[in-house]
Amino acid sequence: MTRPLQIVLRVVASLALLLGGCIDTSVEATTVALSARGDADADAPFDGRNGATITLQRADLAFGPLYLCAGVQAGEHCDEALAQWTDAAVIDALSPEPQALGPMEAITGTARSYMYDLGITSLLTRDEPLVSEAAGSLGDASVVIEGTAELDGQALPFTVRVRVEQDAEVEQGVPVIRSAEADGFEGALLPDDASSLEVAFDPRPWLATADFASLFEDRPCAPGVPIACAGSLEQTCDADGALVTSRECADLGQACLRGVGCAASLEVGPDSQIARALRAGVEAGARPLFTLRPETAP
Amino acid sequence: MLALALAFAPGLGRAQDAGVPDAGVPDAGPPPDAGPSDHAASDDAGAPDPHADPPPPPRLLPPRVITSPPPHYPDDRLGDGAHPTVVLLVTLDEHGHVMSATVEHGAEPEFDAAAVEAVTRSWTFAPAERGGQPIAARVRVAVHFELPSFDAATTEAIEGSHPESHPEMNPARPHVHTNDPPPAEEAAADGADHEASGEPALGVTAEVEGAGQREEERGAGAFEVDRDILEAAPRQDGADLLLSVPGVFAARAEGLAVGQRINLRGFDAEHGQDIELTVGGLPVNLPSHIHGQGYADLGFLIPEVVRRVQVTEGVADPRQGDFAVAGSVRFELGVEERRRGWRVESGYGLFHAFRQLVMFAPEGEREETFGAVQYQRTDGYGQNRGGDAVSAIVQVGARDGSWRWRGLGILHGARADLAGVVRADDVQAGRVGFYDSYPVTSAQSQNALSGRFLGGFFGDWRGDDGANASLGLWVGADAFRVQENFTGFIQRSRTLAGVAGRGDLIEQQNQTLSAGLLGRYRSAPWRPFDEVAARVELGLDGRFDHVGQTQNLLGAPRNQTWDRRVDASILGTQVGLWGEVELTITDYLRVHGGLRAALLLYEIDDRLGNFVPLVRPMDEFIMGFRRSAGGATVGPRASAELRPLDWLSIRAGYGHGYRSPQARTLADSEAAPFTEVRGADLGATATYGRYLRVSVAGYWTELSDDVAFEPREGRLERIGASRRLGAVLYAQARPLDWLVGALSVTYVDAELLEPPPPTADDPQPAFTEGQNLPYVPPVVIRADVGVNGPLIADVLGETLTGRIGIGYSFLSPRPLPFGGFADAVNLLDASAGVGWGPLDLGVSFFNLFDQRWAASEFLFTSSWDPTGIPDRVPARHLSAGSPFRFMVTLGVSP
Repeated sequence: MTRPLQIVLRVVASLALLLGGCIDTSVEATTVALSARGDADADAPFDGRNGATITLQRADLAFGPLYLCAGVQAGEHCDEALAQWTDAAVIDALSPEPQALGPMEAITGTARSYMYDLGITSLLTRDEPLVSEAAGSLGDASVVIEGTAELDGQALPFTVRVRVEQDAEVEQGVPVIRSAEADGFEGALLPDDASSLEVAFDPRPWLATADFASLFEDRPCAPGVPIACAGSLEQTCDADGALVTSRECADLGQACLRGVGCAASLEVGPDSQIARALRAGVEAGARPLFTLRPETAP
Repeated sequence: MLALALAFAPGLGRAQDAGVPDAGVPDAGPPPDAGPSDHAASDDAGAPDPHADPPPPPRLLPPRVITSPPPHYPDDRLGDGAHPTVVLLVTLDEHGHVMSATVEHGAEPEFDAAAVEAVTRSWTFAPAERGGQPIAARVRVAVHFELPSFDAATTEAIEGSHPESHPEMNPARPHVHTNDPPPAEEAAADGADHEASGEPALGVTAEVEGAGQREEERGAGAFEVDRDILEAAPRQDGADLLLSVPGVFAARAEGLAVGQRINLRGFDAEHGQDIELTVGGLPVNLPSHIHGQGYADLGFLIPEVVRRVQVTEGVADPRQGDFAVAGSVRFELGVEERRRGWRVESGYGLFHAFRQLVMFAPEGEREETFGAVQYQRTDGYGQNRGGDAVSAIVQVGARDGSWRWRGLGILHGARADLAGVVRADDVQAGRVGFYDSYPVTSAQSQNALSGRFLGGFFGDWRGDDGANASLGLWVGADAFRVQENFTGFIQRSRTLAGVAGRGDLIEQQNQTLSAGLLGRYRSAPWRPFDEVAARVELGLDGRFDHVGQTQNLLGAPRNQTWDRRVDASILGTQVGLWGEVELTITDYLRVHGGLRAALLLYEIDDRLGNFVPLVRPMDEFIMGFRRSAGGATVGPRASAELRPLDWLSIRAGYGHGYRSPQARTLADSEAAPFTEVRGADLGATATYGRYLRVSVAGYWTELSDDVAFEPREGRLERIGASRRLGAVLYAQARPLDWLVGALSVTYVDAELLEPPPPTADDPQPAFTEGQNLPYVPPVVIRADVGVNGPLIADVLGETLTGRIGIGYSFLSPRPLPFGGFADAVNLLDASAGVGWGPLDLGVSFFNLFDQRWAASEFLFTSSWDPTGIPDRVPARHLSAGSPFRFMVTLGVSP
């Protein structure tokens, strides 16, 4: 195209825009700066169930994708979202420093609910969920928690990994974690990329119902119990419940675990109560704090 | 209107001795079947050898009318309301000059004098010929007077062989065409028209088209685009002719087998739901079509047989019926005299596009008599865009006394692959090409098929007293099937539990069988006072439609049905009645006022009715919901025209129109909710002779219930009331015989007034109160320029002619749902060609600057990667318009 013609066309286009200056579309495309962080106090010891004290050394989660919705109910009512972040990243929930995740693609409006997955996403198009790279880096898990559970002077380092995924039989293709109306989430998605969303995770409530105390016991040998823990004392027992051998786990820098004996650490099984409690805590427990606010200048 | 008629009237050529004058009339020669008196005349010439073989009779051709401007209607007879016919005997010299004209059968003296004056001063004739030599002759002509219309001042008759020298400035004028005269032998054989003297007969035939029967212009939005403008710029298909209509933009976004998307004056008419489209009097819109209410595919139109396009933008004419929301567009079919005969044209161009046209318009027949067949094929300008289409149009016109008859048949079929839409962000990221289709089977399986037949028989009657009437019967059959995927992989089955994500390939099928009628009667003028004349017009139209339609979701490539959305049959009856009074008050003012009423009746067999997807057990009843509904509407139509100066016309119009509902959305016994439109306009037209015509108009329109495209269902859904305020400028210029141009600029502010409120299912609707209507460009500009004339007078005995045409379309950025704007569109088409004798070679360029443009653009949610995280935020989608392409055309007109 020749330059003079380009100029003419631009003039015409500009004139057209001028004439159409009163155009009001009410809704505009925009972006929302997304970041996530952990809680500053999350690495401090906290009380677990039945007297256990838990201290977290690692709380990584694969976060994403995330959608913000216009209605107070997300899920299937949010086939058309106001904002989306279709990636997933590993969030260090023990670090209070915001971790920039990039922009969310959005349109302006008022968001009243959200929904997200933890690195493992159910798709309409296939039966097996999609495992993101973030979740892959966590061993195909959504959340990895490492910490120490203490009870009656014993300290047990533990690691727990859980997959949080949608039940295809129930709601295939819908993110698994959704806000409830009672959460009261509401915020404006402003035009001109003027909004930011910070998601603050506190992993401690996720373990609120995890029964670490049940790992410990204080009982002597008994019939049918091959290994018993009397506090930190590991006891091996015969079939009649008579003591055969014993050793002090504390001397080994270990804890005595019910049915296991002395153990330096524990890899919590996926079907254990702790893992189930953690999964339930993540899925249905206290929600992270979503703060949607006008973007502040750097 | 001052109309003109030339009735068949054999003239007189008295046989004389060569060179011997007789009453001033030279010899026109004996006719081949000369009677006794002719022989007697020959005897007077000398003494032929009675034994010699008689010489072969020389071929005798009668004189022909070249131009026949209408006579001046006597001013002092305007109050009579008469439209007499004066028969004159006209004597021509061997050059065709009028030597004298005498009244044979007269009317009032003023009419006689006006007829003589018109013929002697302004009519021109080609002389009679005998044996190839021009001779003097006498011819009888009939001059018919019609009451003058406001636009008659520039009326000029056109003789078929020189139409290009008479550009038609005034859309309201009558178009007079002289058919080729019958051979003198035939004329002479028609003894009933001969004088008893047996003098040789010289025939001249002329007649008036029916345009004079009813003034079509109502309000300020009435325009006519004539053939010279329509053929100025290159056209890809017949629907492209719409581009030259003020305020219209049309684009074929979905391939050869799906209708064009049309914008008109602030209405995104989609596939035609807001525009009443007729072709040769046959209705094109299809009610309750699955792909969109009022769906209209103009793919069957063959550009070469469109004589002119008449447009009424807005609603001011009681004759405007269903779908006349933004306005009405009428395609008039015909082949003018200069293009009659055989025409064979082949074109080949980029993307292996091929077009073959065969057209036959028998010479000597009426303009509307022709037959044409067109075949088109293309590989398409990107992935999955190939297609084939064939159209045939046959129309035959005849005249019998006061009646003029016309039969029209249209047959069309097309099949095309569709590329569908692509997301703008995917294009930008390079994940899919602008002209490509998504590389998934569900997208690659998009295609469409259409077939249509339309046939009609029409009659126009013209009474001696100025009364006139029309009637018509028509039938139609339409088949349509499309499978399109707009949203990728986001749909769930409502029928099969747990089935989802198999690809949103929507299959729509629609079959319509239709029959309809129309009729109207326009009274003779009644003159209660001097300077006042009144006419009454009554009309009716109606149609019956049997519609069958389905919509399913298919899993490609085996097209397994994985969800059913629609399975219905509709019987629809629609009757419209209208009446209008026309008052002409002096020469300066004319007023139309009328009413139109319509009644709709529907029976709907919704075979999927009462099905509550996946929730309600189906063991309590049998699925289905049969129901009936009806509705009626009445609305006024009015217009006025003030003509304070000969060159200035000020017009205003107001009307209350309607669009019928999609019947399947009706409940049992529901009063069928018409979409009602109220509109008004005001404008002025200035005319400078035949050289320039400029119109400016402003308009206002309110619509009770607008619609917009819903991609999840691939059809139109209601979005609430809307309003439009705008203005249009339209100019036609013919400054030189070989130059024609037209320019239109249309601006509109289109606003949504009452969008659907938020619901739990749709908490943030795409449309909000006060927003500008999506998909409607605020500014539409169109320019057409055509140059056509002789280049070299004599090249091997033929004139070498040349032509250049340019068409430019501009659309300002269009607002989209959920915000955002489509890019502006700038399209420049050009053509050039030369003609030599029967040959014509041309080349047409489309989108000359190869602009990437979106033929349609939407904003909605889709997700196209079946293995990735689904998108849920509405995104821009577009279907690519044609890039630069060209076609070389060779035509032969033997």
